[in-house]
Amino acid sequence: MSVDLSVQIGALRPKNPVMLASGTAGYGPELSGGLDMAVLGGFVTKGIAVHPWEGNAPPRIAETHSGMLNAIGLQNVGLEAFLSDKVPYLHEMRGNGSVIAVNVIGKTVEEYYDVAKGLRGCDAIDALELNISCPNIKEGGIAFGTDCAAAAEVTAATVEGADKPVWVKLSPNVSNIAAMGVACEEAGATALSVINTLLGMAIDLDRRRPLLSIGRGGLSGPAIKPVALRMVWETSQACSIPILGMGGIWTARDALEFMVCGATAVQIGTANFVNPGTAAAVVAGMREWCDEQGIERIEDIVGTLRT
Amino acid sequence: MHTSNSTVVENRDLGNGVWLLRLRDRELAADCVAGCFVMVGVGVELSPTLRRPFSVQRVEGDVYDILYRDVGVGTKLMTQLVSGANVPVLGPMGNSFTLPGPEERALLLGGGVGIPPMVALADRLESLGHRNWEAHLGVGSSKDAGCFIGFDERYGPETTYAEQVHRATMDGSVGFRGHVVASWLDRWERLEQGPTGPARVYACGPMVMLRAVAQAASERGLPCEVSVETMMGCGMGACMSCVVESSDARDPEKRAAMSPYDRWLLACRKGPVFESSAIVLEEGEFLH
Repeated sequence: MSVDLSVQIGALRPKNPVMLASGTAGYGPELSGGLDMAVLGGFVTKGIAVHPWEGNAPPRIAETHSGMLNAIGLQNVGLEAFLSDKVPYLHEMRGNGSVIAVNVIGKTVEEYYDVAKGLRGCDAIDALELNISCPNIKEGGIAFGTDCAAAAEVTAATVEGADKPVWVKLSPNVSNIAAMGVACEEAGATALSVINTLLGMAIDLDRRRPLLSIGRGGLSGPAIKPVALRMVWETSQACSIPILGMGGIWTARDALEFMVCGATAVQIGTANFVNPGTAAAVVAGMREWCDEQGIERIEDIVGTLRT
Repeated sequence: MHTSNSTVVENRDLGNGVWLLRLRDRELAADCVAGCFVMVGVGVELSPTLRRPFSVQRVEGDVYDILYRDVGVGTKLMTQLVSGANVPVLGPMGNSFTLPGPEERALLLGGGVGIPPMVALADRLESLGHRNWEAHLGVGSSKDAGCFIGFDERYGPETTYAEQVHRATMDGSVGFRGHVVASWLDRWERLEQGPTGPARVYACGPMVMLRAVAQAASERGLPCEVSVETMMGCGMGACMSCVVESSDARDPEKRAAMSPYDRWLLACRKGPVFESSAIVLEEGEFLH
């Protein structure tokens, strides 16, 4: 039996539900030494701002139990260099049938809008994914992603600027993620990526200093999977647009759990750093599991959690 | 880069927490260049989460060597590896050194577990028939003499290389008393045994040592390359953790002209070998 792994995300139909998460696979070529990029259902680039960002001073990373903290600071080449230097490779990947999304970052609503506008007409990409975990410098540095009205505003502005579907990547650092999802859906989002990293800290006890240069960082990896599953479940119950589930996926079974909890597709993140071939193994494992379970279309398992 | 399942040939305790791990993988070994590194998976199940980066010290046939110090949870697990065990390894990764010109004397300076790239470079020079090199190797005391193993094995005191390889310890328990830069300058200047021709300096070791080497080289107008160690998440350029600061970012004029993206350079992709003048040789600064 041949399993149909394709899924529907708005108007897009990737050949399978497995994508690489933003910030964990660069602009594409970085992982290609350890992964056949043609197996991917989708790929989300490192965040792109309207101008280049330098990112934070090191140390930018700290290992934790079954996870890691990062405080890269969204170092990125900026829109102009992205279009000239990075797009050719994305063209190639898209030629292999992968859905390509560009992760968009900004410090003001206008900056998000400008990136969306600048990506108009770029035929190497299928969608935009908004990272709304950035601080809104005009509003005192509070992240767009922790306030429903701010999230809706930045979503609406990006939708207006873009000629492609807009996905919004939700921050888990909120008390009611479903409300955030609803706000973004109402503002025009086509899909929701759930979740971004959880704010955390790690310290050196003896030196009494944080391990990361800026003190705090984003926690990712298997340690956050239970939180991510809960948030995917809650968001999918409240929203009608597709959910892209992520947070600590290491195996095909992890990925399938997200789908059963309501995710139409999944993104692999931290696992790429450790085993760049993870996405390929997840695709193969999904097919195997569906075969064993007698499932002909993987879409049929989405949101089938029995509660 | 290969996704390897390497086999442990030997995991030898060299004393004082220093170990030599010999791994077998024909394809990976074949692609190693002097200065390259590999990412070793040390986790049991999901922890430790990340792989550990190690320079490749020596390649012999299908076997490649790693020198490591037991300093944390990952390296502690590595000490338990037994012959025949399989270890997930990604690599080789990273760039290599600029080789010396035919007339240039290569000065190899290594400190502690930073000695391995100097072993790889010495082997490379030998394979090219470039005998015009000397090495200055430093450790704290005789307890850490295991770090010398790469040179001891092939360029030991009883060999014809005795005059080329100089060992130093901070307490004087082995060889020269003092650090490697002092060992080098002592030989070159005080004893006036230095070469009269052009030279090129290569170094790997703690940041404080690299800074001293770079300064000494710069004062003498010698080109200098350093291999840096940084906190590394993936080794592939994906996680963007392992950055070092570009020297240009410290020059107001150049800073104004460069893209902010280029202030922080990835040690895994642009390095780990850099021209010493190209990067800021400082430990990471904490802002808070």
